[in-house]
Amino acid sequence: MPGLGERRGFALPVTLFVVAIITLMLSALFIRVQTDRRIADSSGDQVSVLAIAQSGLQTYLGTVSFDGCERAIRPLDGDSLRINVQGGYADVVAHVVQRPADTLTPWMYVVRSTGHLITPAQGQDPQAVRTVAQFAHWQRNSMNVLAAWTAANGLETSGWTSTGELRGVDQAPSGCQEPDVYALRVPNNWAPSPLTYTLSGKSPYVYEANKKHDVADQTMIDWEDVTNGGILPDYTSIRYWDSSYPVMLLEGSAFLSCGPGTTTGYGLLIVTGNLTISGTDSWCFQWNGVILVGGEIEWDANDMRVDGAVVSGMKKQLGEWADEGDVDGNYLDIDYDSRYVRLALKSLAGFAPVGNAWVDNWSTY
Amino acid sequence: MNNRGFTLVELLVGTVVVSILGIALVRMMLSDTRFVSRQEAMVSARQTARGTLNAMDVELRMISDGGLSTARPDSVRAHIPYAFGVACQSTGADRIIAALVPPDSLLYATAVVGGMAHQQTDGSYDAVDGVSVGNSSNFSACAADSIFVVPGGRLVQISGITGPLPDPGRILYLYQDVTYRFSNSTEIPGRLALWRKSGTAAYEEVAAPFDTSSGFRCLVGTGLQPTTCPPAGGVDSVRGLELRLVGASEHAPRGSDNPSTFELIARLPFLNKVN
Repeated sequence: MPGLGERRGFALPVTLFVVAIITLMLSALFIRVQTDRRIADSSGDQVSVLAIAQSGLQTYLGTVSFDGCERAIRPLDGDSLRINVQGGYADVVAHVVQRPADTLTPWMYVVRSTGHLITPAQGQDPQAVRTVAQFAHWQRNSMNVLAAWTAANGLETSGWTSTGELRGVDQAPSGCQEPDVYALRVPNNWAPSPLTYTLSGKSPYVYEANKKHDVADQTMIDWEDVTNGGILPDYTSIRYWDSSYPVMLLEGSAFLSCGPGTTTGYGLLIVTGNLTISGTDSWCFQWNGVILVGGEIEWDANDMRVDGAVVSGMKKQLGEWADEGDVDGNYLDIDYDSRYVRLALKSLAGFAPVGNAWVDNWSTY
Repeated sequence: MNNRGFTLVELLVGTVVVSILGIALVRMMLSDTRFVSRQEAMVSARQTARGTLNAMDVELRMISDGGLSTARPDSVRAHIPYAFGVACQSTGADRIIAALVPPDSLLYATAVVGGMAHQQTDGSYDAVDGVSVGNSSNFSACAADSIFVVPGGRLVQISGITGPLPDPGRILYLYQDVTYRFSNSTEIPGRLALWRKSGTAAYEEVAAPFDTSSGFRCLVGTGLQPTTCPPAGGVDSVRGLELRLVGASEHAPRGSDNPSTFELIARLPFLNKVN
């Protein structure tokens, strides 16, 4: 049999040549496909890491903690947190941008979140990193309480036969108290006389001054914002016995009928029109929190008590009409309690993102 | 050893067998060549589309109210923010100090200043074209209103502001006036390319080639419905853009008369627009 070198023909060289050519072509294609896959992965990673950064940002903005007196704890300048989310983690840092001298004006922060995409199979090094940021205001769970009952709409000046208590001394637990407020705050010449109520608080207990819209302005509540979607309520109808202190926003006028027994409500009750409370039972109506009314409040029930604060006549801030109020029921007891005020405003505390202030070009190194 | 040679029949049979094998081999090579060519063309088309989307995504998402100047099926022009910050006090009738949050260094260094937009109480922005921006060390103008420069941020003076100056504490941003346009390519003559222009600088070719079906659609309404640009309500009603990036291969793959294409459709809502 002839040796390999003695064999003639071209089948083997041709076969080797063809196989080499095909191998080269497939190799080149494989490299290009790999490159394409990397680009596709990179596009996907950019989407994923943006989601991680946004998720971290939203989580941080939505987190708020409270002290024992239910005061929202404001994050320190430079406060940072690593938030683990599916697919990676986000490093969030909050910086104070503006600290207004006015204690009621919210501080402005810029909160940046750097998302890191982790693929376990690729090790612990992030596959992609992206930073986004959001300007946000820090909102406290407090309000400018002028009095236990602030009636910007004014009160009927005569014909009062009811009795009760208006206490401007803070009833919050010891250590959680705020300075006393007036028992009753009304515009000039709009206080009832005589007023056979037990009064306490900041002197004078009944403070008459300014015009109606001035009093509404002094509450520092932006009523236009409240009535135009500035507050996202938990409910749009009255809910009793919900001790989670929800926010209730009732459009137009509302009629509350209390009893039998004590009908108890908690939280922030906002009524854009008039509020009427009626019922005949003893200790018929109890509210723990804040009642905020655009028009007048008709206290028609036999026995009504509020622990927190009451504000009526906020429509005067917008120059709209609001009837003067009075108490037709037998007994009304309004006690200023800053802790119940804070609890009622709890869901409004924390970071409120400034609209249309989202940043996607933060320095990445 | 037998040296009698091949018979005619043997030669014919051999020729037929070799021919069959040769034809099969050529067909296999042609098929494989076409396969590789098609795949390469598709990869090329995909890379064109994806690379372009990655570049445009960051810029277009930050558009705010009044930020979209023109929108046509083949081009858009917009104020693209490149640095955000907060206004401090004025230092003259047409100038203010501003504290900027840390911007991307490369972007900041290469940006062509188009103007400044400052936020109004309703959340929308008022744009002022033609401002000048320079570094400042006037920290007292910000400290007076308890405004801080965050670590890594910049303090700048913005001058040449026409109209009312923004109040201290107002959020503002510096923008580039950027135009994206699909037009004829110079890199690949006879084909379509995406061009980008910032301010008065010349157009730069971003990527090519694209299929002629590439372009922009406007997203309007709360459901971000795509519609032809400009929409009936004008550019102010636009809440986002739909990018139709149909990347194409530079050459038609073997066995085909037309280049391969890859269609990538992405909807980018404007995240800084009042809803």
